[in-house]
Amino acid sequence: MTHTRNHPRWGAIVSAVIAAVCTALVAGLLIYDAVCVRAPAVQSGTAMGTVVTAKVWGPSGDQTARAVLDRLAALDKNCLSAYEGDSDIARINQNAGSSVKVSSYTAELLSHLIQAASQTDGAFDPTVGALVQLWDIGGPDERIPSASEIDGARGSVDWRQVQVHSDSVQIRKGQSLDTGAAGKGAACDEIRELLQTQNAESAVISVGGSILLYGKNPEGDPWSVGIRDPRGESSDRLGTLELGADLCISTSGDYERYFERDGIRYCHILDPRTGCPARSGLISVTVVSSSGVISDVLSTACFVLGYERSLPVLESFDNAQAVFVTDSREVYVTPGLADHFTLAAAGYTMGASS
Amino acid sequence: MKTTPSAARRVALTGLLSAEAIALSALEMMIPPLPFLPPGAKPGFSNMVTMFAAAEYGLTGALPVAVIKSLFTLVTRGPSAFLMSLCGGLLSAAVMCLCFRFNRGALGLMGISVLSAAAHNLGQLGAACLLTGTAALYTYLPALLLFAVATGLVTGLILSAVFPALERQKRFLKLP
Amino acid sequence: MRAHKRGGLALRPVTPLDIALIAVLIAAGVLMLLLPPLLSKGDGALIARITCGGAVYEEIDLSAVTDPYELELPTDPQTTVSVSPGTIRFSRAECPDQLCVNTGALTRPGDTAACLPAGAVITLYTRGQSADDIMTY
Repeated sequence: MTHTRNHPRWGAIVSAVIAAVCTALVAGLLIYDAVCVRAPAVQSGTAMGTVVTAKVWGPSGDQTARAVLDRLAALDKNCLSAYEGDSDIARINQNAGSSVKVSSYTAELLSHLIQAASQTDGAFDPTVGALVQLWDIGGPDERIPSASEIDGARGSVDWRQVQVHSDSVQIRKGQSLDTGAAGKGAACDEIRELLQTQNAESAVISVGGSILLYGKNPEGDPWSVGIRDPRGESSDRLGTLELGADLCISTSGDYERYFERDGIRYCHILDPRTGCPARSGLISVTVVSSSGVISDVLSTACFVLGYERSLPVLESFDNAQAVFVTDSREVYVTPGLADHFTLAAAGYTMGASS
Repeated sequence: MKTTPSAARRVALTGLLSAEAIALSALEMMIPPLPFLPPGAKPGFSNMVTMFAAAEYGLTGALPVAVIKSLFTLVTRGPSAFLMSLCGGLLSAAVMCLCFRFNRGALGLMGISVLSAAAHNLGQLGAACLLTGTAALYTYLPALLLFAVATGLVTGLILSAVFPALERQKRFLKLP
Repeated sequence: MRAHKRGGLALRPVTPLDIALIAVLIAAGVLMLLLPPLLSKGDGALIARITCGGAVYEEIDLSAVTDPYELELPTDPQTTVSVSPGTIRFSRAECPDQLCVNTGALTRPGDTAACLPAGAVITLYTRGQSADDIMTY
């Protein structure tokens, strides 16, 4: 039998040590929990043919981030994908000329897009599908089509011929819908709703460069959103926007998909009215709005319209704000963003705002 | 002065203990790696044998067992696993022997078990740092410590349970 | 060898010192787990540092990655690293254990994956200077 010692002092001392350690642990955990900003859950993936990153602050950040990616995949598959599978948009395109039953989401989205097309006077037009396919910029068959081919495709571009009802949509025979200019922004709006149901505290989501700022920055500072340098590497910044809560930001630029021939750049953003890549003196536009789909639509429309003509249009959309970069490396900022934008890249100058 | 039968007994005993350690080690290897633990972390059941050897026979008893067990790892899992096993085993055996030698009842079986498990894991981590040439692996330290507590407790419990059987093994083999 | 006179394993199972020791180890482990997120600033760029054989091979700013790509490390056995926006992992390795590949994706500062036979380690940390939360393009 082993010899047992009898040291009453031992017991007291050790108990005290254990109690102290446990209390310190618990206190530390409580303080840590209350004071510290937990690192966000970050998930990245591909969805809707582009790279998606979700940074979520909150109790079940990982789950929420994953839910974001799943929701986007579903959105693309069921509603938005223009050419593949049997998403709503694809079926509308495949059955041009007939009425097609769609989800209420798609119907509502399309009616917003038609409204936007009207408000931008056709600078944005969701029926550019035939033109997009003709030029195929960034695709295997990219080329400069002949004038007659362009005219032919342009004939089908007319937002007025789209009939949207609460559960069905009909386009004219020969027309084709393309959601490339609005899909990412629309996805941001969908994600905002998802985040509300998931009780996320704050989140920063990027859908192929369209950003959703959800809630306030947990660190207390404004959110800082970098704008990519249109003539730099993918990680080079033109400048930074300091923004508050619950905003969406989208950018259209001539550097995403393009080809060059004889010294001229043909970028993927087509002007629905001319049928050719937009040439308005801009190389990049970034639009800030509280609505995702509006920011995305407007970034395309402003790119097509050019700086001067964009200003009244932005105002008509509930005072959306924008940052313009011209091909002469000048940067113009709408008044609402003047105090929020800081230029960072060399080689650019701030233009005088009108 | 040791007599030849005693030397023969020593070799036999070392062989017996090493075989037990290897058997336990082999069993452990069949457990799949868990994601949140450092790669290769295992419960360390073979440590029980080394502890017995350290307790009963000191460093000269424990060291051969640790080395032979590592050699088994060399054959089965390659040179990097061998280095990790060796460093862990040696450090663990050293700590065990120190504990048993200078204990005087302050530490119980659990305490020594946990300490040797921690030493084992630290030795392995040290070897891993040597192999990769970087100290970046320190991020494994917390998981390693907590894991050592858990496995140390488990092996300590098991050892205290099988201790009577080990005693009997001793008497059966007419060991000193 | 001769047995110790004290009869080695004949000890008390648990002593007060044991408990104190275990408590301290647990406390140390838990504290070390919690401390790093506390210390690293959340809004720095997420950098993945790849070391081969002890020397830093490359540092990648994961928060600036827009298109995923694969990187082959000059190690023997050969290892391949897959880099994506905000995350990095070992995608292929010619080591027998495959523990590095099984570690999976690294996403937070402090996350580590290592291929010991290859001598390759990936660690994530945040760069202290404040970079943007996100970039629009």
